[in-house]
Amino acid sequence: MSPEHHLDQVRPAVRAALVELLPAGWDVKAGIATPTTLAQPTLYLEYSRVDPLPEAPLSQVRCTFELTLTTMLTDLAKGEDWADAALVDLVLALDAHNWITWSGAEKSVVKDTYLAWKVTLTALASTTPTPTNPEE
Amino acid sequence: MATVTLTPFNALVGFSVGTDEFTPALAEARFASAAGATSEFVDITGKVTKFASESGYDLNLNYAQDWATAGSLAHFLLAHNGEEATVTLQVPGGSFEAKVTCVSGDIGGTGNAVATASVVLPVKSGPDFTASGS
Repeated sequence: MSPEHHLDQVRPAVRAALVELLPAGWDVKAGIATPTTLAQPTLYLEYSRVDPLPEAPLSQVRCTFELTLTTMLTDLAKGEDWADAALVDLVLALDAHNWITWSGAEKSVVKDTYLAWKVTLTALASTTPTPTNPEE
Repeated sequence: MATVTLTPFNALVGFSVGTDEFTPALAEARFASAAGATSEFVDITGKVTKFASESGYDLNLNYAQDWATAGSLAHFLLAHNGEEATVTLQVPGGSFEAKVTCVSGDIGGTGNAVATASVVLPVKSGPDFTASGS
């Protein structure tokens, strides 16, 4: 497993993976942030939990993230059309990923204005010390 | 009679095959006791006498598959299927060494879940305990 998946770098690693998976123009926030006025589709990435991985408890953990996918559209009907379609893109991208997966999505409204999907993500991360030379 | 105190421990401390340590890949490494053959003799009074041979062991391994890392436990078992290997299971206070026959494990798994494998390696000799520091 490459050093990008190490527990001490898991939040930037998940953000980088999401940026790679998602269409250009989506703003992926790096961590907990207060929603403001939105100008573009925005993803809030909240790192919320770490559990030992039962399949390899001495070297791996499962990190849980709450991902909020919001639209900048304030018209609820248009916002819902956009958010529902965007969710499909997001979950298809996540299904193809080999160390990030998702376990459920729930529709919500952010700031009483923007339609959103809250998606629970889990990412695998290593807890073993990073080798100085991974080839060894 | 003296009271013998107990020092319990959380498995798993260390598991290696030859010089390679595979502890990070494992969820379980256990020398599982396998009872030997038993027989019983009933004499004319109806009294039962039971005979039993020495028990043996199997080595149970539950591990996460890794085909991206050359030399992973999954690769090792596949490459040495049917061959004999010397394994060492560390415990607080010492280590157990045994000769086992390698068995290749599962390949692939359930969708969107960590790929695991579970194998039972017959123990040919051992496990023999060596106290640490001796």
